[in-house]
Amino acid sequence: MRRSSVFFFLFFAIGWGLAQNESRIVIGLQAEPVALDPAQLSDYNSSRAAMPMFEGLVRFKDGSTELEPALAESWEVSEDGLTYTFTMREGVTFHDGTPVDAEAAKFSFERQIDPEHPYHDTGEFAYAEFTLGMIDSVEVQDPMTLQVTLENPFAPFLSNLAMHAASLVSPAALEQYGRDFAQNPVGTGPYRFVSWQRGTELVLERNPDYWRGAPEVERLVYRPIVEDQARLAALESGEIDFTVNLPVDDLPRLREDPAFRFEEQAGMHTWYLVFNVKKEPFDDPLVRKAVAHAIDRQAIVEALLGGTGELAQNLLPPVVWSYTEDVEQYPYDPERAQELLAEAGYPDGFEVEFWIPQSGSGMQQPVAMGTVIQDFLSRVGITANIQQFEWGTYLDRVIVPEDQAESVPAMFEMSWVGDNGDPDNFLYILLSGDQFPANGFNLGYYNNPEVDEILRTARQTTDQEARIPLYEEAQRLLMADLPIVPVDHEAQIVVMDSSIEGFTPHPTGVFRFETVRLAQ
Amino acid sequence: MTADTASQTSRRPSFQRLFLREPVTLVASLLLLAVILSALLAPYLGLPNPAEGSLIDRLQPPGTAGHILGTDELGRDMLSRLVWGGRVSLVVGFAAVGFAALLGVTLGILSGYLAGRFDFWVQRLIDVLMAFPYILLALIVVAILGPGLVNTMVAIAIAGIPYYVRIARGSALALRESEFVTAAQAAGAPTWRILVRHVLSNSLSPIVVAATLDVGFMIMAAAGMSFLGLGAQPPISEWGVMLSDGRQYLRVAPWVSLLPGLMIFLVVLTLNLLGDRLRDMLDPRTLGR
Repeated sequence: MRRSSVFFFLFFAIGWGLAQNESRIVIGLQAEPVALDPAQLSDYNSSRAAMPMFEGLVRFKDGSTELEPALAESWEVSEDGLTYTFTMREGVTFHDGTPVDAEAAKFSFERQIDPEHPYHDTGEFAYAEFTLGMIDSVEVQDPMTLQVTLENPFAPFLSNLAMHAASLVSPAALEQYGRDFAQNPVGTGPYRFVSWQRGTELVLERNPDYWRGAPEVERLVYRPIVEDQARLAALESGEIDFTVNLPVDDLPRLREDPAFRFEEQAGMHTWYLVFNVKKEPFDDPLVRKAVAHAIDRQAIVEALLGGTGELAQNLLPPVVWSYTEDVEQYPYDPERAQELLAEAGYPDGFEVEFWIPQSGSGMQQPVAMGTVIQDFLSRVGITANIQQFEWGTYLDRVIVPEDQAESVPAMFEMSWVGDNGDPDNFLYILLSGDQFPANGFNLGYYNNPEVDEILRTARQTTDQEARIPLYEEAQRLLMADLPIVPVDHEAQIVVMDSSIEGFTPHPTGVFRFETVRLAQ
Repeated sequence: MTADTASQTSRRPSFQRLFLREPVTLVASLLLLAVILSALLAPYLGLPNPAEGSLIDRLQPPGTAGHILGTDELGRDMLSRLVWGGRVSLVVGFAAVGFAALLGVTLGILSGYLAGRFDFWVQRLIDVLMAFPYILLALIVVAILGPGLVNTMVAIAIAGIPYYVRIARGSALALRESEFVTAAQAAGAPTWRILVRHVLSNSLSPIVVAATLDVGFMIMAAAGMSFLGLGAQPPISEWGVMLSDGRQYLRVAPWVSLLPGLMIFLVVLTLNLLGDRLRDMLDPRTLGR
């Protein structure tokens, strides 16, 4: 009796499940998200899971980093470029019913940048200074009008407002959850939070009241599958429908398979070698150039990366405006490398420390790439002693203030993914003299006053046309001095079940599902 | 003295019976010998440089001209990497066992023979070490020393010390009560001489058996640490590293992972078989058979 009732229940449950026929997409992440608070996102897996739930005053258009209005309907910028006045969109509410108004926007910004704010202790805001640090004051003029005043003119400010950290969060939800907001996120986005079982799955459902119209797909389920081969197997067995960063050598096979659809986009990404210019021998530009000539970067891109990236001629990726190829080029030329080494006083080469991470977001194949680079360098007499680290430890050890520059190795691997599509977000933060850690990410302590002056002028010039020649000049100077060796710009390759239609990758790497349909 | 000669005469026939007449043992010994020889002779075998590859020739399957066992993800010759990798794995395995056994046996014999307060504190120290799972203890040591092949070897050796302390102490405890030790003490022999001549030499056989079995274990532990990226650093070829790096290519080039995996499997199996045989050989209960 008991067994038959169990069977009955099972059949009933299966039947009920089938009858539901809910449309959903299961997304395979590379790792467990860390937090779902938009102000605390610093890795792809967290932002990919969290950002369908959030929006800012402005947003990037689909597939590009051009801006369009979001929670602000319109805005005005004062003549001096210091004051921005936003008119909020009427009738939008957070997922918990709290109305979206100027007060909520002020709350979302000030909680990150004002240490006195009552909700400042609800998280670690790693991106706050970078995204919102230029704000002098935020004022609510009336419930639907917000005025933001900057300390200095800052050209990329509106682009910054489309970044994750500038998203609006529900003040009521923060009051309710406090620090646990990161596990109970409430925003205005096309999807809202349902549940999160750590290590197993995170579930979002569509927001029926979304101001741009409810999305078609009802549920998004995120599953972390760390091992690439396991994620590949999960995709092929149908356990997941959608993923990124599959093993490069398996892609050709999947491309032939009609069960899968590929969507690709040139990435806002650069993989590069950093030289610690505080240390010999890389304080000498000749040695840095010798390294660039010694490495066959084209072979790395074509063979090892299987064409999933494009050869980098420049730190700035081609998808970012003001990019130029009119810079000094460093083709593979081991003889030239040896000449340069001899000229620099190292005819027999030298020995250096070379650190690499075992994995890491944007790092592609750090161990294989590092080993190939080591092999190429050994052929011109440079002995690079590799040391590997786990990604978290690695970041802790290479992102250190100038007074500890001695502990940073002579050479190491790094990558950068653009946040807002502005060249300032590559050139200034990565190579300007006042962006040594912890201010920014100039990890090799490169300092060139001429470049700094240009970059500073460019970020304070609000006219984009006027900024272009400045950035072009900065790129020329930088590539002639070569504080880093750019290796490749990785394309974003998204592989999904062929029933998923209408997905467009976004340059910032987040996944947007609001325009996606499922074919029957 | 008479006991010694007796065991020597009875050891020879048992060596033949247990070691050479068993085909499995014979095959295992030959295999291990081949691996050891190829590892020793690696520089003279005319193999390509295991650290140098050509990206154009990457992931070539076994049987490709010029690369009998194929190439890996960076176009390096698999055969050469396996041979050189064996050199590293074997050295690490034997050296770690040597280090662990040297320290462990010294401590164990002293502890068992001297007894008293010294024994108490050594045993508490060993209890603490044994409270940690083996790999966790090795990870802690590597975290302190930093990653690298030598540090990994030291780490797994330290984690292996308690094993030898326990074995040596057990023997020493029994031996210190034996009549010939009492006789030596009565004759006024210095403690170090009693320890070396009587206690150590009479506890050797269980230690040798344990050490043989342990080499395989140490090779696995070193491979495990390298798999986690803490052991051998590029471009050193080591079986654990090869296994780890190759797993990205399991579907398109399974040999990159399978071959080093197979080598680890075979060598560890061989060492275990030989260790078992050695135990049978040295066990007084099997001697008379």
